[in-house]
Amino acid sequence: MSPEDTLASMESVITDLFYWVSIALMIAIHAGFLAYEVGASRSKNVLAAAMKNLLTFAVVVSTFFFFGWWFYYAFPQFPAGALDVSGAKDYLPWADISGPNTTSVNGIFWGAFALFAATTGSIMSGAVLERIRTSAFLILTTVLGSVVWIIAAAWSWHGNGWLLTEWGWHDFGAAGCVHLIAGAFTLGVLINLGPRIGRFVNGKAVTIPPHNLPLTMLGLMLIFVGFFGFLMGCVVYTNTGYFSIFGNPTNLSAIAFSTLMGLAGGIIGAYVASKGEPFWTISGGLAGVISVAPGMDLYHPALAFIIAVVGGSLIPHIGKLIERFGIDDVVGAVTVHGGCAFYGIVVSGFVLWGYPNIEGMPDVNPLGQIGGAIVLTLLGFVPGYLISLALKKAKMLRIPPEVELAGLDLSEVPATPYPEGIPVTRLNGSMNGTAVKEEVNA
Amino acid sequence: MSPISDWDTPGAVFTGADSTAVLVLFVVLGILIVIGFLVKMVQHENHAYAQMINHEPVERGPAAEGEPPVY
Repeated sequence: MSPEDTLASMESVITDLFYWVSIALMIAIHAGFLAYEVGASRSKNVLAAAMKNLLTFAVVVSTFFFFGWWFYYAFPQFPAGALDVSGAKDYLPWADISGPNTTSVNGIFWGAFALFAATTGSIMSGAVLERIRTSAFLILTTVLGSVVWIIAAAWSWHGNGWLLTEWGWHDFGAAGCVHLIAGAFTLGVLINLGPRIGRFVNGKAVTIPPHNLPLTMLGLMLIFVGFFGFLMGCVVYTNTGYFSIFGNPTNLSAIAFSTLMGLAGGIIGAYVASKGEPFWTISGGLAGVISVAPGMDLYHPALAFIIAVVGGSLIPHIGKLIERFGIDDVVGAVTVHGGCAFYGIVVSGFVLWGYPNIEGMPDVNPLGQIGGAIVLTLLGFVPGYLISLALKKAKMLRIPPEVELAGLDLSEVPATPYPEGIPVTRLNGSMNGTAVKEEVNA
Repeated sequence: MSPISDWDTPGAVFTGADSTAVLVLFVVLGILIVIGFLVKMVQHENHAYAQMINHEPVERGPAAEGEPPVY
């Protein structure tokens, strides 16, 4: 074997291994979301919440193979330019590289993207807890994870995406195509789904506490671990070094600075803004990383910290704002993912203003970033709203009120989460009263 | 279903790699299984919700030990 052949072989092996580790770490995100949502549910819904997370993973990964991967290669320039059907045909599920192939490592890239896809579904999953039909959720998550997010990725997270080539877009950590898309899609669904029974009584918000807040906090810590895999997958590894998906040189060192400082800043910001409320404080870590994600390959760590502090401090306020509209976002997914991604992208437009893109593409600029954020918000929101509206009209979106009151674990899940009967969901006084019965009857 | 007769030629080695029609069939069957799974889930949900509303057990058989009372 010549030295060139040896080098090529080693490149292939290391690329394979690099993304393999990324995939394994990203599975921690799903373990984290599962624990997070189980903890955030009342004890009557914990197994249904866990099943929903498991099934999200299964359905999104399989459908992402069957038709999702193709969108990434067909849509980068569409509708600004032509649909690239001929280029994308190599990524159809029956193409030569869509399976074991001695000369291709396509599967490792597909695997990383499949985990990103499943993450979008998991983001939505927590917001709709305790009242959505699992079947409706899986239909929605298939559309989000295997169609909508990957079109967004083609536009905004691809070396030839039209947001980059036309507007100078920069979003290293997928704040737009993963977090903003999932948050906006979820908002559209929540509008049609409605709040949990008892969440708003006579128009006034009533807090429904998680049945296991420590588990929720542990879940978020697992998500933090998974984030290192997620951000590892945002780096393009080659034998000549690391690049962002937009082609500019970077390395994992840059990402270590920003990720850790983003986590720290977000937690501090959320703690201060929420006056030490544990749920918002731990969510602040996520908010911080998402806020710095667009420029985490370029921000100074202290600047990343400041941006993250502001991002973390925003979430309790965004959460309250959403609540005022009667929207019940159980885990703050719209707030943390949608709100902080939008904020982070807008901030990056000003902070990164003038950074060059490669090959003569427009420099990073505020209008490009803000315009891109609006485009992605609409791309997420419109299908989420319309498809959930159709499911609602077909009476397929929401579980019956009797089942909601009794809990999903007593109906569709043939198992008992706590056979010894603890912990028991504590009923608020207002939830036992006539107001709830009136709401059910209405 | 081997598409190769030796390991000397690099390239696709997966089952059915020499026949697009077979691969399309695999994919279509896979998609149908996912759709069938969703249909089955809707049926299960409808049954489970109806049984609960009618105060009937969702599944036949004795109650499991430690089963919590109705909420």
